[in-house]
Amino acid sequence: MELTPNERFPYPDGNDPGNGALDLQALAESIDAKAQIQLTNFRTKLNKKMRVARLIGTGPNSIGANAFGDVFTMGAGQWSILIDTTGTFLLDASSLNGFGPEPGIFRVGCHLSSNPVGVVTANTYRELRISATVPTNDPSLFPANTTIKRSLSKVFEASTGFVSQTCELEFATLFPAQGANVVTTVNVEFQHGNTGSNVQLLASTLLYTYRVCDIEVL
Amino acid sequence: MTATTTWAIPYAISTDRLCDGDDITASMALRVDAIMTAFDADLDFLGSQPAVRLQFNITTTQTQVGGTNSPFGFPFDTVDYDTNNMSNISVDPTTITYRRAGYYAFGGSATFQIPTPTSGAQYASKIFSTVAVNSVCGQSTRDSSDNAEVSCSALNRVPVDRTVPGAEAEIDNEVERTGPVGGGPLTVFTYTNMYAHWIADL
Repeated sequence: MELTPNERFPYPDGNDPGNGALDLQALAESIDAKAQIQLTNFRTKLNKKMRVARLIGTGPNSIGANAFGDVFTMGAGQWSILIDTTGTFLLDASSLNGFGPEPGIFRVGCHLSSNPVGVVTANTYRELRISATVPTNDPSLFPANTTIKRSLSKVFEASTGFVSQTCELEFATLFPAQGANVVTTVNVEFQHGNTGSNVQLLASTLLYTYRVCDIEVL
Repeated sequence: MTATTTWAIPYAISTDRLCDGDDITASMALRVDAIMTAFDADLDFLGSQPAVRLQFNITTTQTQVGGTNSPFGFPFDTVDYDTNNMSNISVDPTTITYRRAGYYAFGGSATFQIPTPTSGAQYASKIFSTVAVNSVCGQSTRDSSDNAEVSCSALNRVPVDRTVPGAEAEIDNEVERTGPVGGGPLTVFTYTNMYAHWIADL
């Protein structure tokens, strides 16, 4: 019996006892098993894990001026999952929980709509910030070193109160998540300069994360 | 012996000699081996598609060339990752070159400031491509004492492979002053970044 050079499929050589039917069966079973592995691999790579959540109502009236806060917390009680293909149902769509331990490139985004609940302080800022704290060595070792990747968006209110803005961050990490233990942490934060009143997040605010691809070279 | 039409997989026919059975089975095994090995390579590419990210690791002040409405490309100091030789910052720190034709997602974020801002002026950061179908995404913000912080992303179509990284301006993250004031020092802050990754073949 010989084996093919790459996939190790069995095939007969001249010294094998003549049993053509058995030779073909062994080859067919081997090809069948390999085809199944390839199909699974193909589906895994094609169907990238993603999670999208949106606000279905107005968030709590609790966002004071000039202090960054967590966007997920600012929309507490109003988040609804649109898509979650990670197998881990999670309302906080910016978390890497459920994305698995394989190194990869990820994209995190937020489309955020906000409005003061009372007095509008004209021409003040609304700032959206997405940060990923990425381990630069094995996080189980001490000291665990990290680096920060960040994108920002600052928009100025134009006297009407309502502001809509978008921010995206793409980054690579060798240590995304290990089960529920999120090794690379993502923070989506918002602050504003509307000192006249608190600000609320509005329905249609979106949070999303998806896995772009593997990463082998850093 | 003959072979299948599409993938040329050999198989026996009724006129073959019985004693040739082993050779035909061997031919079939080797041909399927080659097909599946090629498919493995395609799967590897699908998982590790071309991707690149440039960023500023430190806050730095640059001399902005030009002035009103004159774009200035951010000269990035760090290659965060590059899986397809799409950047060469020692030659051109301002550009990403799409090496493989296809559809790409690109984007970035910039934090910058040009001192002594003029009231009413605006800054605009635009991430654009100079391939056949120009794809521009940008965000403008007013002039103020605050840092300008912008983020944008879009898709693009790249019609042909490119061969020389850093020599052809395919994607470029530029800051542009759209107000009445001329050029001057430009402070670019840590975390400013630009990225792209392949999505699909044409």
